[in-house]
Amino acid sequence: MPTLTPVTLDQLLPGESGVILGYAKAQALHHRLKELGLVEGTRIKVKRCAPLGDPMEFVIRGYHLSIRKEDARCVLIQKDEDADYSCGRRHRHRSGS
Amino acid sequence: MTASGMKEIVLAGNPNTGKTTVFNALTGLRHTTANYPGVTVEKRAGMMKLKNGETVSVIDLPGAYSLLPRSPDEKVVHNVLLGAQKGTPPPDLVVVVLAANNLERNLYFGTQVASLGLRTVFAVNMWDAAQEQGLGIDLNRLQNMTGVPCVPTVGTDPKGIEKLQAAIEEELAKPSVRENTFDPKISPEVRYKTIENIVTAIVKHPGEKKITLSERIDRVLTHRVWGLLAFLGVMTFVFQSIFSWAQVPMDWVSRGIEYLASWTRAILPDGALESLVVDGVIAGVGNVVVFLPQIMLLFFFIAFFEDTGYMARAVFVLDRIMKMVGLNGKAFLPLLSSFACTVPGVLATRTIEDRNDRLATILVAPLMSCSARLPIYTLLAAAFVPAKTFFHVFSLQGATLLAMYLLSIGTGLGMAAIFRKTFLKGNQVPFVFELPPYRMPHFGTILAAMWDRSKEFIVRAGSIIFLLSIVLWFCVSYPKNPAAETSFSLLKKQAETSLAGDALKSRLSEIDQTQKDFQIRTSFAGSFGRAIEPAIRPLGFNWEIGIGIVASFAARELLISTLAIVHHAQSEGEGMTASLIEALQSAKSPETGKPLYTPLVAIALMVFYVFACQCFSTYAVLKRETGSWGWTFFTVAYMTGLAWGSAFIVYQGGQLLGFK
Repeated sequence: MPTLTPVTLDQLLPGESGVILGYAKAQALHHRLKELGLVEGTRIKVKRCAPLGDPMEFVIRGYHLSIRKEDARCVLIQKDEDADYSCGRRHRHRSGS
Repeated sequence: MTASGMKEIVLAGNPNTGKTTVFNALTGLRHTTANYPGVTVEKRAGMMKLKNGETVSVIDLPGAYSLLPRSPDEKVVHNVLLGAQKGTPPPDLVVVVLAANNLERNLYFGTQVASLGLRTVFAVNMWDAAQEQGLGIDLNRLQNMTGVPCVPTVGTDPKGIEKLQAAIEEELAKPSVRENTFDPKISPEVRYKTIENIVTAIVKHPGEKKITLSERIDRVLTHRVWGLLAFLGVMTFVFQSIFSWAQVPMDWVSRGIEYLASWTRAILPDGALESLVVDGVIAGVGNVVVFLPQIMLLFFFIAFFEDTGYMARAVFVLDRIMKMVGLNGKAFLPLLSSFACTVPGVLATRTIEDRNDRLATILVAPLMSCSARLPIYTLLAAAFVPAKTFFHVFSLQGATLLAMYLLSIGTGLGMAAIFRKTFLKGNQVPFVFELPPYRMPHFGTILAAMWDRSKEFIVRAGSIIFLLSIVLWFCVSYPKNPAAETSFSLLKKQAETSLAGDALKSRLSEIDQTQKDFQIRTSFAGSFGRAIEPAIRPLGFNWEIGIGIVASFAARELLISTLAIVHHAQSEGEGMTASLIEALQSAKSPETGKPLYTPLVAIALMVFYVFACQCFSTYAVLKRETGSWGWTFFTVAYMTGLAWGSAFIVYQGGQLLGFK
């Protein structure tokens, strides 16, 4: 049974991936994220979190991009099912993938 | 076309595409750097000779992710490409540098530019990196689909550069007939759809994914434990080299300046001109040039980190900490640089895209304790802090020094937090940055970047210091008192007739000292020092310090030489510090007979120097980088307020608590 409820990008754990569904609220700032390739239907993967937990590193369109959690929170994601289901971001991150 | 009839070529592209390396390879080492009028965006321009003998002008535009500008850099890119930039003619041809291993995102900007209707060439750079990753890219197909000639390039490799030059020449020969179809309303979604179609058609991904070397390095350098340790190690190394290894060449420079001064003294006739050149110009400019080795080293590290890709990792590791005070990870390096000198620190804030982030960083950069303050701390600590050690390791004097540095860091970050919470609230750009693959550094590019920035430092700081040194020299040397001068030369003549040998020498230097002392007391600077005495009295400072503070505006170290002059310390080479310390310790107030300088006064003075913004070069760079006198005055005012207030609290509070 696939999860239908979208999660936000900051809730993904390192190694997990998903497809971008859209943005939680319309903000001028998000236009830049879209221009960087974070548009609807794009697959994005979490590479790692910074040593102090924030920002996060993502792989999208074949390159590595770092986004702060507060900005990642606005991106809605349909999580891929191949990875384990996570119980949220309070979970300690494993470093590496 | 430029005014001189030369054809204008511009290089554009995303950041991290190796654009500047291509620019350097096209134009050779001769290029100029200046600013676009009214903004602090660097304009790098050079010249290139084509095969047919024609010379064309080449401009390296700042990196941009989109034609719809978000930062001052991108605004310039937008304006230049649309022919709307003052002083820059509309380009005859655009070379868009694309990173071969990151075509999809690079083509976002690339296709925007291609639709402008200008003659366009795609330089698909880092071709080698893409091949290492096993990417197969069909450039002919890319050319067919976009209508733009494509050339594979590998940084400075002459084969690619020659092909690029040939393509440029070929395109320039064609008439520019395409029309501008750029539509800013096309959404990123639609544009990426088109690009996805292109990329799927031209790029073949390797079947299995290899773990790249870059990824292996990242596993260490961004690791939760190793990443932080590596960062600390790197920064310790940078700090160590700036503060201790740079001392050797700095000593050479200062010896060279001394030599130049004595040589000039020998060839110029005694008098006002000699004094102006030696005490004014050479001493003043010399005080700035001495920092050159430190600054060049610092710029070398910055360029090295940028070129290899470590800079982005440092930002990644540090962002969380800088976020606590409302800044971002990119503020770290400018602030670190400011410990060497505020000027390069402020210049290094150019990498911060967001205006408010950048401004907040600039405003607190002068609070970081620059190396010009260090001699003052060292002298005062040596003179007034007991040479005690705890546990045989920590010396009280060392702890005082450390306390000054911590005070400067703490206040700087605190002020940043205040600014970001009040009038510099919010961001225009989300804080996102790319983590490009690591690259082998290209030393030509690094040295060129180091030299460009150092040159800028010399020219900017040098020219303002040159002028102000003359003004300051005038304030210290005038008005002259002819009657007093006659009596001094009379005294010297008397001594010459009555004494001989060493006794004569010491008598003469004694008279010299008294004369210097008299001169500085009665000078404009001296009167000014006296005039501000009521303002600094509550801080425990006397008018001698007042003169020193006034003189410090040219360079902070001048406090030391001023105190040495007014307190008759022998100013000969190595002995100066020791005799100055003695003179300060034994100085008594003529009225009360109490010591003029107490440990409490010394601490108050150190704290004052931590905060006071006494540096003309800093004013100049603040004006330039903030683009307004308003922010410059604001910075000077808030720092002076902080300096006065904290020295007041230290001195008055210390007295209440019974310290002396």
